[in-house]
Amino acid sequence: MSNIFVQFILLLVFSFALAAVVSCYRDDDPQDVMRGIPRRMALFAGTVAGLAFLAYVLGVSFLAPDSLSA
Amino acid sequence: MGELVPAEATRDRMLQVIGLSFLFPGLGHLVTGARGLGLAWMLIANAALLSGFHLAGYTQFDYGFSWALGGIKLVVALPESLNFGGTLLIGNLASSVEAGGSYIENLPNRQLGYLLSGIAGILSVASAPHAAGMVLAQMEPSREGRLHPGKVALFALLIPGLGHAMIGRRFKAKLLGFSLLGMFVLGLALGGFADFDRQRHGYYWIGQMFIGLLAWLSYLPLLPLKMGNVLPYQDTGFTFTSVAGLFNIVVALDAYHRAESDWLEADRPKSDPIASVDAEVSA
Repeated sequence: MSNIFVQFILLLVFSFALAAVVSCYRDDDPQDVMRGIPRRMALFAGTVAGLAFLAYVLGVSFLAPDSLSA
Repeated sequence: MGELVPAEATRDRMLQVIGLSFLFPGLGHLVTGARGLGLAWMLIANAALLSGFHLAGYTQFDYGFSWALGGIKLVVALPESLNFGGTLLIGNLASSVEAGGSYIENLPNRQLGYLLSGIAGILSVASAPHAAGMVLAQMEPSREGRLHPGKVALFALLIPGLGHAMIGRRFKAKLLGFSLLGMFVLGLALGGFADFDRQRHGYYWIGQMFIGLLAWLSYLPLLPLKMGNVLPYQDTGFTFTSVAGLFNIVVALDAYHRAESDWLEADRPKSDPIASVDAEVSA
């Protein structure tokens, strides 16, 4: 059984690698690369976490198995 | 300031050799006049491809797709089809032994075959940027004896970050090398080091192979490891290992692009107008 906190840490690891690759592709100066990583990492991780939260809310409300009878 | 780009005639020639290299590895080099290198590339890439297919009983085609176009069978199996001509030729001359009713387990060296044909596909596509770099070196020679971008891209594909290290971008080399290799190894660990196997996870395997030498050298030693049960983060492991390899393609493209910019910047006469993208757009 997976743990939500471990999943979140893994999401951050993935987001860091993604942000590093994209920042290195967009910029050449190390300072610019370093500046771009946290922003892109937060953008990606935030989007994924937001979608996950939305999916959870829908799953326990409108899409719950007993939601039609209610 | 606009971005430096090669002259239009150079770019046309580059596109030509890239197309030829994709069609058949080494063909682009032959056109540039590098006959020895072209023939060596052609021989090595195709020998590895053919021996790989033979050892695996041509079962690589079971992981791909095929369409009948008239009398020709159009086959696509990745990464083998990155040697488009060679794979197409083999696909029209041979069929998977499984189609004939044989079991894949009867082929003891099939995994070695997968490894060889996979490496052959990646080496084949690496011939395209290498040949393009040679065109740049021929048509716009550098006075500073720099590495041409094709060579840099080739080494970037072999080891993540190495290409950037070769052109003096040590920060990027360390960052990208650490990120991609770390992600690949972490992904392997999440899958119990048993998530790198073409026979069990064929689609993920395509991306995993692009991490380069680390993947190629660890493939056969890791095969005896099996997942005894469902691991909690095995899906994340598949994603990490496969995406790390796909990221390495972006890293190699960046290494090529930076090396090309360095090449052109170093030899741009200070008094000449800049041959830039912006200039072309405004024209």
